[in-house]
Amino acid sequence: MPINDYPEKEIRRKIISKINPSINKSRSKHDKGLIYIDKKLEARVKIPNDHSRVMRQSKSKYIASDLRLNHLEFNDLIDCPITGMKYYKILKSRTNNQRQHAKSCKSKH
Amino acid sequence: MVKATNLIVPDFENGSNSTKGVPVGWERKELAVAGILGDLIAPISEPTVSKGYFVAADPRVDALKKDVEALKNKISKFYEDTPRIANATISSLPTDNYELMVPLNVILKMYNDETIAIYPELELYGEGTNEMEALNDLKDEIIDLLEDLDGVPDSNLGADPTAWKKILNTILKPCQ
Repeated sequence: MPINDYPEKEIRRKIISKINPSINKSRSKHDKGLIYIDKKLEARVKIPNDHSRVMRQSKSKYIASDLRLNHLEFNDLIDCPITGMKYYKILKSRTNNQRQHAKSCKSKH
Repeated sequence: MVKATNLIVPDFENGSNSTKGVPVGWERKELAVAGILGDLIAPISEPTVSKGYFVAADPRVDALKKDVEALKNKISKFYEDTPRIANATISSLPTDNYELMVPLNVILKMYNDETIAIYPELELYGEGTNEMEALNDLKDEIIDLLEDLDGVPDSNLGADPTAWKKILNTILKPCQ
């Protein structure tokens, strides 16, 4: 399923209002949002600027991937069904899975 | 095979001063035999008078025109969304604090109006209106990542940020 077309400022607004990442001013053209779970930095997202132009899907897919969301979840995040709390649940389950996978790989070796 | 009867208005039978009647049900072969087919073979989009016959517009022409238009739009969108892909190398960073130990191979995706430079290993991309801008933005992204990770103690880094830091340590070294 493809990512829907969204204006850059809408993506920015939803990331900031729902996920509330810690925003670092940067030397590049875009702010970065650092996303923590239990005080651990788990994800880092490039936050689009406040432009009204529609972000091409080939770029918004990187933001979805930064947020560790699939395309459907990303659409839901922007369209509203996914709340900030729900987002953090998804991210937590993904990072836990990752940790378990890493542990099982270690124990195999 | 286009039935010539589709091309001809049914009320030809009545005729008028400017048109001659053609029997309803006449088909291509019969019209050809009668020597009146000529340029009527091709379906036409506008009603017209040809060789003294009034010829109706074929409704399929409009449908075909729409299909062609839709196809044209699809093709132009396809070309807009399909980038040209090239490789490039980054061999320096715009900072006095760090230098690259190895050149970085990056992927350039060039769209009509925008170029994206990607370094997949660190999940970073830079963007710009051309290759140079995109590469410079990617260089800034690398430094941003480095500074972001430096600001967090190692014990507070999750799995991915830890992996990024490891990679950064293998490709960058502090300047002496």
